[in-house]
Amino acid sequence: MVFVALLLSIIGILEIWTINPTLAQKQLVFLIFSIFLGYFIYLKFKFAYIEMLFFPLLIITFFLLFSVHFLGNDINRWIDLKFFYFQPSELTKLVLPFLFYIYNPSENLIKVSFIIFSLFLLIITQPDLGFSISILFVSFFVFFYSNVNKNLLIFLVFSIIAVFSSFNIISFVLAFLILIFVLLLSKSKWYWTTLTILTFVFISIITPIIWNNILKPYQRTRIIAFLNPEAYKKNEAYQIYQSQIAIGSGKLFGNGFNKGTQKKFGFLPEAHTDFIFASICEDFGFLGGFITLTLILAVILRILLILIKIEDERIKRFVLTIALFYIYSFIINISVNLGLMPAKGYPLLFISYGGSHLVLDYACLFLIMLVKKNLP
Amino acid sequence: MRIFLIFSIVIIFYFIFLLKLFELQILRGEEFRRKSYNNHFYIIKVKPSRGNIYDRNGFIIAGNLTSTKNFIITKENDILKEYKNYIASLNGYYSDVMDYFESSSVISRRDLFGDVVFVPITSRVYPYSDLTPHFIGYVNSDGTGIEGFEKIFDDSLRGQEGEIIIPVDARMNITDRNKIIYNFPKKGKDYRLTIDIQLHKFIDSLLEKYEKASVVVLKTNGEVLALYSKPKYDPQMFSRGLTKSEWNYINDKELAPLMDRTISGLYPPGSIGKVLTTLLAIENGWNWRTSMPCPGYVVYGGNVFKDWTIHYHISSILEALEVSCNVYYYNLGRFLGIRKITENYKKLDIFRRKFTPFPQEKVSFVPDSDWYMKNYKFIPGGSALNLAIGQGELLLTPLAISMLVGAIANGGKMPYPKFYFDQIVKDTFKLPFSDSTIKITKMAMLNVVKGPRGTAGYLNYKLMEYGLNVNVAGKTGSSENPHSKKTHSLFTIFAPFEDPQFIITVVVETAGHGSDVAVPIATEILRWCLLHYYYQ
Repeated sequence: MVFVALLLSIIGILEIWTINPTLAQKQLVFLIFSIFLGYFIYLKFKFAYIEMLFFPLLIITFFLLFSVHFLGNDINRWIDLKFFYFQPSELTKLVLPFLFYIYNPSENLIKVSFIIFSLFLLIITQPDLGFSISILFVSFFVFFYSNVNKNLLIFLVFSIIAVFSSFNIISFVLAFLILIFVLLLSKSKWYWTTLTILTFVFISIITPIIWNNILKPYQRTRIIAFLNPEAYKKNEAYQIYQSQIAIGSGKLFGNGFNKGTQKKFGFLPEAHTDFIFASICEDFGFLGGFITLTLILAVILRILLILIKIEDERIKRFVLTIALFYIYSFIINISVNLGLMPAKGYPLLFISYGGSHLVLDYACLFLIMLVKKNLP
Repeated sequence: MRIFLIFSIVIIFYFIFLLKLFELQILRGEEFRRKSYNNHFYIIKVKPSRGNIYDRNGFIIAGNLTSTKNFIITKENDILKEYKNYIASLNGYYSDVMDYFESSSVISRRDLFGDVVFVPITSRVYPYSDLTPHFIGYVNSDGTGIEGFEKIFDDSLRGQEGEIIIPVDARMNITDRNKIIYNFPKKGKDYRLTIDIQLHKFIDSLLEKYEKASVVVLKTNGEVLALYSKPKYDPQMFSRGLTKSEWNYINDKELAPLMDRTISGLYPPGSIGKVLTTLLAIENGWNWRTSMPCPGYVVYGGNVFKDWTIHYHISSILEALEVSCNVYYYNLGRFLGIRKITENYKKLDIFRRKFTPFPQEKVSFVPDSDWYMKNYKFIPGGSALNLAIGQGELLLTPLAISMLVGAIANGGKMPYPKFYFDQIVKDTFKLPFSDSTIKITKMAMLNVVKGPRGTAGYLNYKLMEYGLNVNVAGKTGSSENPHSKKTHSLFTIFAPFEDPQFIITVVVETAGHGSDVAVPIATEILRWCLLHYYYQ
């Protein structure tokens, strides 16, 4: 598993080298550091430490997330550590597994939800939509896994869906039908059913009214810009269009290593970070894209195999949380690259340039290795 | 179970991604590769110079003016703005077209603007302005031929576009200066016309007094020496854009300056039509020695057909043409009959075919019985008589008249007009008449000039004055004109008689009798041709 991850990182470094050799050197240093750190964790870490480590880690994370609001520049994501920019939100990749290790969400729902929601608020106000949604995504599936009251889950999820589906009559009807279907399947109690449907309809009616009548135009643009800063800053359609050109121009075998012109001459924005998959496809074609996707899938499926062997529920939740972060990265990043989703900045696991996410990805991976070692 | 559900989502996405990847790279790969290629090359199109059109002596009739068009290679708005201001400060306004030396001063400020690339850009110019023959046509402001020679030979005149391919990055910086590719444009083909532009100039000076006229000068081998049509226009105005008064001028229906009267002006030939009658009558057994009294009129079918004067006695067909006696030709018309006249005329190329590639050209017209039935419901009794003297519905273009005369001069054959030297002319206009018929007609035409009572005696007299010992044959014509009391004045000749070289047809609209106006003009043109191309 580590070997496959290393392979992915090396593909990434080679690709970054074609775009900017200095960054590739840096990334190599990050990689070596990540592996040493991960191996250190692998040797010295014990699950008993988690309860002890959790609260200091949570406090540090909150403190750093607060501080970026005052330290950062226009987008408050990074802390300048001279050698590299540290992205504190990445720490949630460690906080959430610890959290779900300690608390079972179905038992400590209020406490857990509070922590998750505060993290979410701090990150979405940076603003970093991609990452804040990842917290919701991961939490939702862990809740789902650990048997949290399904009525409550349905209620919460469809309340959020109502806000977005209400702008279009077709999407509203579709969402409403799905809601009825889900409610029928779940065989909920009548008061939950009524409450959920009424809330859904109420939100669907009230949202367009607030949006069109109460909010002023500049407020609307602010919210759009807030929810999707990348789209607002650069031309989103342009990014995805250039990404599709880069991928498509690779054809079956690619333009050849270091031959892709889209990333080399700057037509593909963020070619070394969010759009690195597109640059791989430009150089190595369908073959390269296929191999990369398959390697990532292999890592995720390997975690699945480990997951089903674990008997301790706490460790199971722990590993699942990490896996969900990987899955989120895989789905969101590749979808954006292929133009299946509007642009959101989110790095591709093990491959994209960036020290913070690389260190955390490897730390998590070695934690899973540790779990695997302790399996009977 | 729930874990499997979560992981099955991942696998579903994996296959969606593979499908999408397949669509982008395999199905639409070629499209995206082309887009990627276009992305990182900045391509500057270089327009080719249009081919020149020379006259037979190498004077440029249609040429090119060159200026410089510049392309600044940048995407930065600040640089672009500064660049525009800089050029505006040079010549008072901003334009990306300028002359080369102004452009050089922009290159010298590379520190300010980065890379600026210059390409030549040409525009059509006609040095002889309104003396340019009508058939040359003109080009529009894009340099595309839209009329006449410029239109028909547009493909070969235009040449091939070139391009400069510059590798650039997303910020429009040149990525590799050694890889700039220059695909040079190919200049359009040059044409050397058989036209003599100096002759055009000379003809123009002769016709100063007249508003509407046309002159055709052919060589007997088919080369076109002059196709002069008046009113004139300057083809330059179409490439630079028309002013209001120019617009009104070219759209004047009365003047129709754009019309090339030599090939699309349909005139009743008047007495020149008698040449055709002569050919047909002799061919059909009329004895050329037949004599006839001329009382000045003929009565036919209850109508009186008048002559223009009383000729008393006509001794033969030779004398009839010499004095242009209508009475004699009325009798020929009666002898031939309407059917024979129209059916035989219809067989001639001049009434059937176009001689030039220009779409503007009109085919000469002779009515037939169908036409009469359609327009009059019967065949008018006197129509044969009218056609025999070149009146009635008979209509000929000056070029068609010249072709007919040329065929007679050459003994029955005349090659189609040749406009430029490389042109291969395969068609020949053949007269379906016997040699003796043509010989007698030629003699009759010689008498028009040489005979003591010849209507074009002035020409002979003038040649004597000039000391040019040349025998000339021809025929005058005065055709009735519905717009004015004055007739169109027509004259057509070929010379020298023994060794035909030139065919000259002069038509001056609403000017008077053929012998008064067209003959003196043709005389001067003939003298010019003889001096330039015969007595060298």
